[in-house]
Amino acid sequence: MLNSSPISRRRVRVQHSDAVIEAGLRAAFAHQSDFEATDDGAAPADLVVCDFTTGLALAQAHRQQGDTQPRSRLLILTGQDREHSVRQALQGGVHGYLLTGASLEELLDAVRTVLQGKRFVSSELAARMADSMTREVLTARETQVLEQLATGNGNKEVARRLGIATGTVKTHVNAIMSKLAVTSRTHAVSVAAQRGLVDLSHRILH
Amino acid sequence: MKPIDPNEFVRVGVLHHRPLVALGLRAILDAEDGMQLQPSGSLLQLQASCDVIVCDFDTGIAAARGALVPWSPTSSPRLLVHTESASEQHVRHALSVGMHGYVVPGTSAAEIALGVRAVAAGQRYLSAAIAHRLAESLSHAALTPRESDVLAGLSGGQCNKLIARHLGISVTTVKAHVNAIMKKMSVDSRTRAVCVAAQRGLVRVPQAHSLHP
Repeated sequence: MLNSSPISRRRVRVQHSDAVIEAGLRAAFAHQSDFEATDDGAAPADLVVCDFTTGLALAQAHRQQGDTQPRSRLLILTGQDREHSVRQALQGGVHGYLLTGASLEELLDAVRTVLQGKRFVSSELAARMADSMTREVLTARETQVLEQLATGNGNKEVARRLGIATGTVKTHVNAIMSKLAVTSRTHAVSVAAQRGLVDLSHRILH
Repeated sequence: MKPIDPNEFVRVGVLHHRPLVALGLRAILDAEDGMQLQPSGSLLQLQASCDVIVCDFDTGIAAARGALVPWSPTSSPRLLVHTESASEQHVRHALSVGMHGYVVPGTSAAEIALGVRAVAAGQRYLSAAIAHRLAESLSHAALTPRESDVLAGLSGGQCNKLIARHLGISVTTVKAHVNAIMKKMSVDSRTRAVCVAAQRGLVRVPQAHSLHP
């Protein structure tokens, strides 16, 4: 899997959906002594630096193929800074998560850290994740209800969609508002969007 | 405005607060025929050496307003902003202070080069994603400034009574505004209005945890 021979340079593949970031990564990886950027898709790279969607897809492919094939480690570079996304990626098997605003030092640090077999999360995100641990966590069901609220559905509609009683939805909504320390449903949705507790991205026009 | 001969090189500079984006933009523009990438430098240096500066949102706004160095809308370089924010509000603001072009991540290298050439020629340029979004917004009735105030209150989770108190109007007036907003946005609940507004970038959601200053 990972060749730790000091003689051969480690191979890093860049696969990013954004042309500017792709070009930036290639420029940043030129002239490094301990690793090289590679375009050779045939030979597995030690590390793939990629966008969010590609990272999740590669991680899923890795899970499906099991231990039969050599795996590349995965470092996501994205503007997607929501807690929900970071969790999703790390839980899915991605090794590093960096934001596009990162400095070049932080980028190279991330590449080397992940190549060493460790995990890497940018310092900004790490601070935010630590912050979130001090708050009460929503249950899976509460998150589903919150996502429904975010689409503007009323209690009755939420109940119908989730196949539960309206009274149960009300209980969930009260629990959510109490955990988020808000007094209205609308405020709950606003707070959830800010903290990235729910994923609204698929409804946003691009 | 100095007319630009298409046979001439476009002198282009990059001033972006995200190092990786700056590096990528430079690599793309450097590889482009008919462009002369200027060495990195301060806004003052680029102002003297460039026809077009590709910059981040805040730098673009500050430059166009003359907040950093004296800026002339006629003789200073044209500004093409590259930013993550695709909200209507930001695009309008950028164009209204005098920026010429607006591109967002996901824009291809060819499109960025096209944008630089277009603004160099004195045209306005919006990347396809932004143009699409603005076209979308034109199909909706625009909110009045007061309706926007009320919508901002709703997004902050305020009830009618609180909004009324903050804006110094009666609760009945707030209700009327809320109804008008919901009608214009074709939604049937306050919460959905807030969601749609956040998606279209109609209100600035207070970013208590924003990672991008």
